[in-house]
This record gives sequence, C-alpha cells and structure tokens, in this order.
Amino acid sequence: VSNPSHLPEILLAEDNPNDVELTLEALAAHNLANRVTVARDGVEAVEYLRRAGAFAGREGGDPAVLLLDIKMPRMDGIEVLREIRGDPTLSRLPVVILTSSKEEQDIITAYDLGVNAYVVKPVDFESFMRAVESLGVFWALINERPPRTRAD
Amino acid sequence: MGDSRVIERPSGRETDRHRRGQWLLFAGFVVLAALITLLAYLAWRQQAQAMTEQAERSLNAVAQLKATRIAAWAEERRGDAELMSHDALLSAAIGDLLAGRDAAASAGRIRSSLAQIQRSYRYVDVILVAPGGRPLIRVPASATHPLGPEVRGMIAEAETTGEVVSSDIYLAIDGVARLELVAPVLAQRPGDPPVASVVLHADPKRFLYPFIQDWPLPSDSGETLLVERRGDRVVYLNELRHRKGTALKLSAPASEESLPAAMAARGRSGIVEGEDYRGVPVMAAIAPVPATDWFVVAKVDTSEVLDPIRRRGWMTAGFTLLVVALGAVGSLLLWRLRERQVDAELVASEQTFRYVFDSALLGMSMTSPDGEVHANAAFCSMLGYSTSEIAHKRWQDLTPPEDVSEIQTQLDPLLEGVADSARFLKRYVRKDGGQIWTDVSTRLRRDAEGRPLYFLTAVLDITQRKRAEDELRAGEAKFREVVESLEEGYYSVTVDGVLLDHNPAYCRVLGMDGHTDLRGQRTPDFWWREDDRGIYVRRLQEEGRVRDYLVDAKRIDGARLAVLLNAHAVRGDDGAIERVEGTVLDFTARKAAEDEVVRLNAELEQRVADRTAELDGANKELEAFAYSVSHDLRAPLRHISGFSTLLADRTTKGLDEKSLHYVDVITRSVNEMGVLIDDLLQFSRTGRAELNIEPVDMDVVIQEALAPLRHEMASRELDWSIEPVPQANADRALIRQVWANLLSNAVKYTRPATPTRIKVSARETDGVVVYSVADNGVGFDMQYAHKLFGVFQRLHDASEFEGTGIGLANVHRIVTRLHGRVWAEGELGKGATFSFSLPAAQETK
Repeated sequence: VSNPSHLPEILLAEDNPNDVELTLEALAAHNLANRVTVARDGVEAVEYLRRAGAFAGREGGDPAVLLLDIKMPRMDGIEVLREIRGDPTLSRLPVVILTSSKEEQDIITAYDLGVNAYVVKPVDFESFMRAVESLGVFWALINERPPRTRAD
Repeated sequence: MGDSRVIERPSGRETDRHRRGQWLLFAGFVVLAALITLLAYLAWRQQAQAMTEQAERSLNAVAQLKATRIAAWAEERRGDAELMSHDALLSAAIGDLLAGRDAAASAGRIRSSLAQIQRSYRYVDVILVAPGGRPLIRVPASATHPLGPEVRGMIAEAETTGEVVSSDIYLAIDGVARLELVAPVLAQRPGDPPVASVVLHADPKRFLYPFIQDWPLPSDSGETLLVERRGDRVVYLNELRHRKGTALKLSAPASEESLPAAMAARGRSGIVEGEDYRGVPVMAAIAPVPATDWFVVAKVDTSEVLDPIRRRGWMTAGFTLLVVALGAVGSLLLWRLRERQVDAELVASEQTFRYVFDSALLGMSMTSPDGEVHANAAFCSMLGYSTSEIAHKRWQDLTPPEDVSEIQTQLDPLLEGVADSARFLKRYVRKDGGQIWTDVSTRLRRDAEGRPLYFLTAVLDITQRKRAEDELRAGEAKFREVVESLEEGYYSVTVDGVLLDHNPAYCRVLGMDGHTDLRGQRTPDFWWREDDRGIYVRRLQEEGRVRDYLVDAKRIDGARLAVLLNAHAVRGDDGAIERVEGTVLDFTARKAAEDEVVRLNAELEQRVADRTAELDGANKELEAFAYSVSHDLRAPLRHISGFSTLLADRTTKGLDEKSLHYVDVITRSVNEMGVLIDDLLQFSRTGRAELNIEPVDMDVVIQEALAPLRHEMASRELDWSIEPVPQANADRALIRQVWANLLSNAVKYTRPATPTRIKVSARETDGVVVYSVADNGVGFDMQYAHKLFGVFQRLHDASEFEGTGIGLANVHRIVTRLHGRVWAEGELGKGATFSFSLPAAQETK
C-alpha cells in the first residue's frame, strides 16, 4: 500500500496488479498517480474508509472518489458499494465502478445501489488510457466533493 | 244450363217447416177460441145459477114473510074475538039488556064497547046477536044486512061450544069476499050458556088483500097468491094481479100438475116451477100459513128471472165472439206477415246461396244424382276448365277411371238415405291431364217429397298439402333410417320417464338386444349415481339442454359404463317440458383411452419438467462460464494490449520498423479477440435473455438498426429500397439485433458491387410475416448455405470481410426463440437474400 505524505484523493479497489499498474500509468499522465491509494480487495477498501483494521487511526479524510472493481477476493465490488451506501458516514462518497464486466445484471444492481458511474475497462490500451484519465481528472479535480459527514 | 240454371227453392224441408208453423198457428187459435168460449160459458152458467138462486131466495123470503104476517093478522082477529068472548062487563051488560034491567043504558054501554072494537080494528061491522040468532045491536047502525046462512051456522056452533068460531074467507051472497068471526060472550057464571054472540065481520079487501098484493121488490110479474084447498079444488082467496074480480071466484083442480097453486094444495112447499093460471111459466115459492088452511104462493114469471140471465148470456156470447174474431183477425195478420217474411228470407237465402256458390274461393259443385256437374268458378279453375267447358260433364268424366267405383260407393249411402253427408279424399283429372288431390265434402239435397235433387259438394285442393305430407313422410322415413343406423343410442322420453321412441343402439348401449322394443315402457334404471340424474334433470330444466355430459351409467346386467349424454328438452305451447330427446354414446372404451392419454401427458410433463430443471442447471453453469469469460479473459487481453503499447512507447527510438509492426499486430489481435469475446457474450446472452413478446413496429426498428451504419453508408453509393413492412410479434431488443446483423452484413458484403442495391421487403401470409433483406453483393455458394448460421462459420476470408462468424448464428438463435425461421438464398457473385419469418402481430399496419 502506498502511503503518500499528502492527502490521498483517489481510492482504487483492485486486486489485479497489472490493472493497478496500468491504471496508475494512465493517471500519471496528469500527475494524479501519487494521489492514489490502492486497496487489494473489498475488505481492505471498507476498512480503509472506516479507518478500521490495518487502517485504524490512519490520517486524512475521505477520498474524492472510489474506483471500484467488481470481481475481487473476499468482498466483491457490489458488496462494497452496498456497505458504503448503507453507512451514514460514507453514503455520499462518490463511487465509480471500473470493471471488465459488461454483464447487464451488474450494471442494473450497481445503479440501483446508487453508483455514481459505471465504466467498462476497454481492452484497447489507448481507449483504456483515455477512460481512466478522464475519470481521474473529473472526479479528483473537477467534481465538487460532498461535505464531510464526520469530524476528524 | 250453366249460370241460367234455376236454383231449386230449398222447398222440401223449409216449406214443410213453414207450413207446419202455419198449422200450428191455426190450431193454436182454434184451441184458444174454444177455451175462451168455454170460459165464457162457465162464467155465464155460474152467473145464471147465482141469479136463479137470488130469485129463489127472494121468492122464498116474500112467501115466508107474507105467510107469517097473514098468520099474525088472523091470530090478532081471533084474539079480538077471544077478548070479547071473555069480556065480563060486556057479558054483564048483555045480561042486563036481555033481562031488561036498565036496558037503554046497557045497550048504550054495549054499543060503545062494540063500536070501539069495530073502529079500533077496522071491522066492517060488529053485530051482537042474541041466542037464537036475533041481531040485537049493530055497529055501525047502517049494517043492516041480514045474517047469512054461514053466519047463522057459526053462531049456533059458538053458542053450543062456547068457543070462538072463525069462518074462512068466503064469498057472501052479495058477492063480497068476507071473513067472519063469532065470539060467544060467555055468561058470568061458568057453566051457563053464552049470553049472546058477537059477529065480527072483517073485510079482506081492506087489509088482507092489499097486504098480500103488496110486493116488496121491484118486479114486473111478481105476485102473491093466497090459496086454500076446498075439496078437490084449490081456491084463490085474494085478488089477482093479472086478472081482476077473481077473489074466491077462481079455482082450479087440485090435481093440476103444473099449477103452483095446485102444488101448494097438494102439500108441496119451497120453490117450484110450473105454469100459473094464465098458462105462463112461472117460478114460485110456496109457504103454508101457520094455524090456517091457507097457503101463500109467491111467484114471478120465469121469464123475468131468466131474461137478465139470457141477456147476460147473449152479452157474454157476443163479447166472446168479438174476442175470438179479433184473435182470428190478429192471427191472420200474423200469418200473412210471417208468410211474407218467410218469402223474403227464402229469396235472401237463395241470393246468398247463389253468391256464396259463385264467388266462393272454395271449389263447389251441384251434381245431379246421375252425375252431371254444375261447378263454380273456383272449382272450374281448379280443374283448368272454363265454366262453359265443364257444363254437361259428369263427375265420372273428371275422375280417374280407376277411382270411379270407389267414389260411387261413398255416394251410395247418401242416395239410399242412410247418411246425410260424406267426406272423402278424391282425385280429379284436370283438363291438361294432370291430377289433383282434393278433400271433398258432399251433402245430398232432396225435394219436399224426399226425392234426391242434387249433391252439394265442397272441394278443397289439397295437392300441395298431400305432397308436403308425402315429403314429410319420406323425410321421417329417412330420419328413421338414420336414427336406426346410428351408433349412438337415440331416445325420446316423456317427463314421466316413459319412452316414446328409441333406436336399436339405445338398447345395445344399455346391454339389451338391439331388436328390443321399449316404447311405452319406463326407461331402464340407468344412473350409476343418483346425483348425476339430478344434475341432468336440473340442466334440462334450467338450460333446456345437456351437452357432452360424460357420466357413469348402469347396464341392465349391472355393469358400469361411461356414457356421453346429449339431450334437449322439447317444450309444448304452454312452455312446459313435454318430452326429452337425446343421444347416449357408450364412451367406456374412449374414456379409457382418454384416461391413458391424460396419464401419458402427466408423465410427459413430469419428464419435461425434469429435463427443464436439468437444462436450467446447465444454463446456470453456462451463465457462470460466460461471466468468467467476460471478466477473466478480457483482463489479460487488456494487459497484453496495455503493456505492449507501453513497451513500444518506451523504446520508440530504439525499435525498428519491423518491431513496430509486431507491436501493431499484437495490438490488433488483442482487439479482435476482445470483439470476439464480446460477440460470444452477446450470443450467450441472447440465449438466456428473458423474452418480452409484443407487437413490434418493424419500420421503426429497421431505422434504428440502420443508425450505426450511417458512417459507412455516407461514404458509399448505396441504392436502398426499404418498403413499409407489417408488424410482428417479437422481442423488440432482440429483433433489433437481427436487423442490425442482416443490414450490416448486406452493407459489408456489397462493398465490391457498384452500384449497390439493397432491398428490404416483407409479405404476410396466413398470420406469418416473412421479412427479407436482398443485396447484389458477393453472395455465396448455395452448397454451403447450411453453414451460414453456425457459430464461427464463415464463408469469406476475414481479411476480405471482417467478422467473428457469430452474427448469423445469433440471428438464427434469436429468430428461433421468437418462433420464427431464418434462411438464405444466394449465388456467388450475384448477391444474397436473407429471410426470416415471425408471427404477424394482432393488428396489421
């Protein structure tokens, strides 16, 4: 887990290191890579957000956005989304599903649970780069974050 | 003859009746007249009798009255004498006179005494006679007539007996009727002879006669006689009304038969009839006068009594005659009136008959006993003759020869007088030779003497009816034949359960011999369960019929069988059920088969369900597999693509052209594989997607499917021909994929063709729409057509036409799921036509 000195603004929940690397590569183009915290599965992502487990007492506030893969060990992305939306302290957190699945059922469920965006990772790297860049720029830089629901 | 024929006045019976009426009227009149006469006579008789009785009562009363009063008068006179006889003063005075003592005074006293009596009782004279017959004193002094011999005799008797002696009324010598009484004046000393006698001389004329003559009632002939029998004669003592100077002078023999006075003398009393002294018939009442020898005869002329009776009689007779005469005149008038009325009725009746006969729509004829026919217009037209043509024809000429004798036997009883009328069916031969059937009613008319005049016949053409009846009979026979040969049992039954009709199959179904005749019997015990019978009856009552009622029934041997009942109620005019007709089919075998089918179906369904469950499981697995493919295969591809690109970027300056080409190949292959995986996933999803079948507007869907192709279309010269197409029942999303596939294929495989023509069309037949996309592209060899719709099957090189080989497989799968069919026709280099069929939508465009 990278732990930059300044506040992380993007939480990436992704179990596949190749995808993590490619994603970071894409974000690096806009100097967003060093603002990314990576959770290896859903459990880690939730613990990070709740400052629980390995992340108990961590510093910093909520990320600007959670980029969430669906297929992960232990707790998948849909379950993570359900946890977050069911938690009053996290329910307003912007969540973007970033996945290989084009499965209709996944898309419907995600939207029903209040996902903010659903992005299928393109196979073609050029397209992938453009997609991830757009996401990073939009959510980390352009989008206005929701007010904090919890005091530090 | 024809129309000029005179219709016989229906004389016979009606005239008889008429005459009988007249005779009755006359007889009634005679009887009435006789009755009136008799009554009048009886009334008169009774009145005559009453009047006679009245007269008799009057006569009797008069006679009795007079007798009584005459008796009283005589008694009084006797009393006078008796008084004088016992007068002591008179006796003393007479003694003194005779003795010469104080003679003058005595004479004076005697005289005044006698004068008092004479005056008081209105004697003619009173004479005191000394014994020996010498008159001493006469009062009045003028009475100087000598004493007649009759008186002397009486004096002698009185002196001798000392009793008063009374004379009859007699006719003295002077011709005067007189009545004398001699009273012996008795001596004062009993036993001494009377000192003298007093002769009292009464005149009947003075008192008696007027009294007798007096008639208390008004009468012209009423007369009272006082008679006395003297010897063998009867003497009339008083003056007669009808003959003067007869007193004591008239007498008649006492034996005179019819003389009332003689009858009195003979001792008869009461009412008698006879002839009086004048010889006139009289009615008389005879009454004896008490204490005398006299009889009073009160009489009136019979004519006086009978005259009023006769007068009354004549009046009654006259009146009766008047009444009878009036009655006669009245009857005569009535008779005449009736006569005229009957005549008018006869004329009217004749006219009516003539009119009815001529203008009746019913065929009518008058046929003489020997057969000559006089027909009316209706009958003529029935036979096709004109009125003149049929004249002089005989009915035998108009009848089929073979029928003549039979018809004659129908008419004979009429001619013989056995029957009044006859009715029968008869054939006639028309003028055109055709025959008609008729219903004939005929009646033989006779004249007053009972001789046959003519048959009056009514003829009704029933040819049509008879034909209809024959047809009906034939129809019934055919119906019978059909019913008899039915395998279904047919029955017709009353509401009480009595069989009216059935066919052999009915018996066979119930386990009886087919030839059994159950008609008139009750239906056999049929129902296996009584409840079923209730349902059957209720449905018939409520719905009027029972349809395909499958129910258990009982054969007569008790075996159970399944039957199929169909029945309907036949209602009468009043709406009540009259009978029930129906069929009963032995369904046992069929039911067993049906049960087997049901069982097999259930088994099959179970197997289908089992298999479906298995398939569902397989589908689930496939789904999981597809998910993995989607996720897990794409990730490595992406990594290959990503890292080879990163590698190329990193070594841009050091990589030669060949290496760059390799990186490019890697990247394109990865992309192709990505598309392939996407298509496979798509293919997998179309097999699993839930169907939402609805009418789909294909025109809109085609436009939607064309949208992604705009880019390529813009860069090429494409000649589109897209016709409006009908709607079909389909899943909108899936069918869009079909169109997208076929249209993009058409665009793709026509690239070499110029100009490019693509035609979209459809036609609807029998609820099925066939859509076609035809192009003039590269086409294909028909011998490989079967491979077109297989997964990964391609007929062209991927370098020539890009594609994964999944598109048409997907089309095939979708169309099949939508209950359609897809096929292709083509020729290499000439083009291809892809067609698919779908069920047409309910509403067509």
